[in-house]
Amino acid sequence: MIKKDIYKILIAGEGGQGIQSIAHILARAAYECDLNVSYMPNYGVEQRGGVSLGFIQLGKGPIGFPKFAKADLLVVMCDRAIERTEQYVSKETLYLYDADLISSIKLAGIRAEKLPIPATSTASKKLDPKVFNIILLGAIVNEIGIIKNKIVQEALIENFTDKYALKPQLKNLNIKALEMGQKLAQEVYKNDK
Amino acid sequence: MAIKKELLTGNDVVLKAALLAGAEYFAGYPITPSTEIMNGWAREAAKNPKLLFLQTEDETSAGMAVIGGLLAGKKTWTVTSGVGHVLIQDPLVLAETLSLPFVMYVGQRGGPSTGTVIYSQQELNLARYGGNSEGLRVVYAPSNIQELFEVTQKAFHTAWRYRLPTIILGDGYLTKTLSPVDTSRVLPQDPPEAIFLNKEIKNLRNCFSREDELAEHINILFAKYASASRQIVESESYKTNDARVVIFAWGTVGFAAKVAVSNLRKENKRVGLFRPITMRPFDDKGAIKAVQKADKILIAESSGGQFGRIVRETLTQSTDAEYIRLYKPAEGITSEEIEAKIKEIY
Amino acid sequence: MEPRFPHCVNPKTKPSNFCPGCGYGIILKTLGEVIDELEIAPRTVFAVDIGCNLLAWDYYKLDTIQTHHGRVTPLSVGYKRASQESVTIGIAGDGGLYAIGLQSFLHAAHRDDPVTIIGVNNTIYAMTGGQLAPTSLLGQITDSSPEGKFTYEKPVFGPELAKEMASSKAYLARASILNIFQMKQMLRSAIERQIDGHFSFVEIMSYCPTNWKTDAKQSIEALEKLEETFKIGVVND
Repeated sequence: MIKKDIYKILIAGEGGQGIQSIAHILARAAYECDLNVSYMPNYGVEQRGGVSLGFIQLGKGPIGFPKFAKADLLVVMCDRAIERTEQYVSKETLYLYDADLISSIKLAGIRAEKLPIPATSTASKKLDPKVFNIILLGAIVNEIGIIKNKIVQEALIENFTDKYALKPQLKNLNIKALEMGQKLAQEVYKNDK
Repeated sequence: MAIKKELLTGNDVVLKAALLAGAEYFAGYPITPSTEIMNGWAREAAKNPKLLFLQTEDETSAGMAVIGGLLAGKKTWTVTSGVGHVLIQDPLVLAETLSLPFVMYVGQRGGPSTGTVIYSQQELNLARYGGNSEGLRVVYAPSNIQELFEVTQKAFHTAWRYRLPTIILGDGYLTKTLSPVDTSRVLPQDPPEAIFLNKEIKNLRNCFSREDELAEHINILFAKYASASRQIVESESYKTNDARVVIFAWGTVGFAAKVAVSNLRKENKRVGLFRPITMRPFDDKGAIKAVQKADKILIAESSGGQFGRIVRETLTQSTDAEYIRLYKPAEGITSEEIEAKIKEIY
Repeated sequence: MEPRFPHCVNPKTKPSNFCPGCGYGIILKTLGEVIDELEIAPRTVFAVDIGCNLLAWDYYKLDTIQTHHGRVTPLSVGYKRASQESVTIGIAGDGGLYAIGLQSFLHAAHRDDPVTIIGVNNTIYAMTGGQLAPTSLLGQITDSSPEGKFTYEKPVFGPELAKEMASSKAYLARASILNIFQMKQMLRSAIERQIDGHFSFVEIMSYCPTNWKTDAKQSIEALEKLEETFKIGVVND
């Protein structure tokens, strides 16, 4: 868990991996918890196929600028995002990554505490491949610690209202994915001990 | 008045504020990062027949269409960025010479040329004096989303009250960032009036046969501008009374600087911030007052010195302070960077 | 004896500053007659370009705006959209309409914006002293095509070009100042089409004795010759 005035979270992955969805949900949840929040999506010129970044800052303190120099929590979801986000890594950064999409060898040069989450395989085996990003969201929520689960769930529902109207079963699926992500994050620490 | 807190992006806020200000007609051309505002307007206009919308073939035409709307007495506006901002200077100088209330939001992006689609503070010169202009326009520079909401409404008010083209100069980060904002305060506005087909016939020209005719016309405009400036000019001086080091910053970098000053003061550093809110007219007096105790001035901007030149020109005979430059063209400047820089020089 | 002007013409700003023998005098007076006859002066708004027509900024007792070069169409379009009860007429030369203003002209046709555009075609950039224009002919000698160099295989045919993008309900025609009666009918039809809610355009072939360096007889002859290339008549109705 990180204890800070303002948490700086950077989520990075391929366009289409649902980064902006989880960033949005996180921002919404923080807002509903009466925290100060700023969320800024950042792409390249390409509409599709570039590395997609989401800069989120949340907490009780003031937020000076929509971007930041170093992330407290960096969430990496694809290979290309490793290089793209190198500049945001400091010794204090918590480096969370999808262990199925990124092999730890590729992260050999990264000097930070690493938190591997097997989101993709867990999603495929236990839930649905599409919710791997929600699993990661669960892990993020676990690490930050200051956002209540219930509020995240509500933000989740709000974000996907249209989708849930068409497929109500998605609601429970996403809630399970969230819980699973939190568990996976906790397990990593348990395994370390 | 009760607060009305909402979670909105800069885009949402500009649109909302414009509608609250009575905007009725939008003519524009898509360009990142401001396109969402146009899309949002189109959605509103599709639902509400009182709102007019025209997507033109380029920004020059968009600006000319805005002028058409203003002549018809509608609160007409547009948004643009980057090279679109370059093109729109053509109609903007027509608005300048005709004293038309042309309102425009600019979401600055990297330049020169196509640059990046997202961020810079490099369109300051363009906003203040772009085209073959004499700077007869108002430029507001919001530093965060709350100020964006207020200043967008203020821009419409200023434009229509003083008959001056008015630009809200934001940037792509501000436009794209989602943030809490209080949308309860609505600024009362003047009702618009048509210029054409209203009362006496008007023959409007922008081209003069003789130099002295044009000079006479311009001097009238200058006098009107000087008088209006006194009501319009705005700036923020934060903890500058006893400041040894004064930071000069504007827009979103200005807010980062404010947070930096606040943090540094907790460490008992005598730092202050001068932040212009109107980039045109520029608060010369406020700037000079802010540096009275300063022996160092830090200019922080996401450009190669467009703001720095204005600062140095303004302060030229009023300070012996040393200038330190934190110029990061097309890249953001965080509070941490500003704090670190101050610690280097203090 | 005082010359009789249409009622919407402003006698105080006469004589106007056009060159002796300029076609604009005939065109503007005829347009004035049409405006009088249709009784639309109280709701007519007039836009002029920056070319020789800039001199018409105070020609009429009508709300008039002198725009930038090439910007008559987008300004007229923008205005009309916010003032649908008005009759909006814009005038430009062959440079303002087919070079710098071509994009806007064609897009107004494409959108079927209900404005009336008048394009005065003398195959030259006259106000700036006689340069090559989009409607100049192959081998035409101008200031920027000395000895006839740098000219084009064929000129731009405005109404025909607009037809490619315009609605089928647009009114597109080409007139000539050599046939004032026909020109007047076309201007009238064009304005009526605008009132019906559609795009209308009349190109008017005109002479420019100053830049063509022709006397009266030569001007008329040269214009008659041009009519062999630029066909007079209705292009779309």
